[in-house]
Amino acid sequence: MQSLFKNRSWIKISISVIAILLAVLCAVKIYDKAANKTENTGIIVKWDETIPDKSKTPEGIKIPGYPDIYFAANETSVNMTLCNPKDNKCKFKYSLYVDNDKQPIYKSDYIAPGYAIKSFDINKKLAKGEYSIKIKIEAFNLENGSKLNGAEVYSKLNVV
Amino acid sequence: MKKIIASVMAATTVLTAAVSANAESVDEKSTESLSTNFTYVLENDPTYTVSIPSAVTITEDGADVTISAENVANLGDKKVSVTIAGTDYYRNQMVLKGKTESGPQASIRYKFELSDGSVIETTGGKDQVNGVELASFKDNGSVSFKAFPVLNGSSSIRKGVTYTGSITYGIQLVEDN
Repeated sequence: MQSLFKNRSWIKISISVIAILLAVLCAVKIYDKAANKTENTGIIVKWDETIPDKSKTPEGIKIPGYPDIYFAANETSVNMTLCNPKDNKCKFKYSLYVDNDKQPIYKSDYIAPGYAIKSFDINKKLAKGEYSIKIKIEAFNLENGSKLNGAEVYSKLNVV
Repeated sequence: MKKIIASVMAATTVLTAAVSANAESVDEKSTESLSTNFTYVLENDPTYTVSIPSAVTITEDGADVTISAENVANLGDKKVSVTIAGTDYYRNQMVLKGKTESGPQASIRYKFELSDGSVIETTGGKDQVNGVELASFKDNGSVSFKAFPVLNGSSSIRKGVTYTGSITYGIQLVEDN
């Protein structure tokens, strides 16, 4: 027994085995985490869709307007395009408010011109019904981050 | 020793294999029914655009402010309405603020004069102009009005100061009365 412990090869082999087992354990955990649902704060993607530019104000900020919106009941994952038209010279931040709630159900990161968030997680599940929704769009100077004029787009949210 | 190593390697192999995915195969002789899952994602996309001025820029003679709407179609009995939702000043007043070189704050009121002659301004009250309509659209187009500084009566107006401020515009589809 003493000779076993004195044998350095035995120690090296043990360490290698433990390292392999830990690696396998980590791989299993990473696989599980990827398979399980995690909060989606909104992945920003390139948004090439253009709305015909008939504006006579080239220096203005183009604000997207929304018709009635539909979310699934009792789900936090929603599909909605929060875009910053590529002609804009500012970055956007979106916040969504339901009915007269003071706290938003979602706040986005900065979105550069020509980019959009297409799906994201809201912070609470909504029951079936009709709600008023306020889509608050804050605009910021691209260079110095100063706040520009913004907009609040009001629409109807149908949770089905 | 070799037996120990071999045992450990075998155990590791078994653990790794447990993570692998098993592909399903179809047995042509099986009587199990197969099914196809369909999925559809309803996209909530914007359908129109309203262009607003990027900043409140005014001159003594009045600066043009233009609001435009694009891709407006098939509204039926509705219209796109653009209103004032608020400002960045206390109580949503139409006030620009600046700072003098010596330090004191300076402020100046401003007002809008619409094409029909009506004047939109605040006089200190809370949310006085929130919800006031500036433009409406049944189709693509532009609406212009003028922004003026209000230069009389205030001791907080200082010369040589750059005043800045921002407005939040409210945009929605409303009944066309």
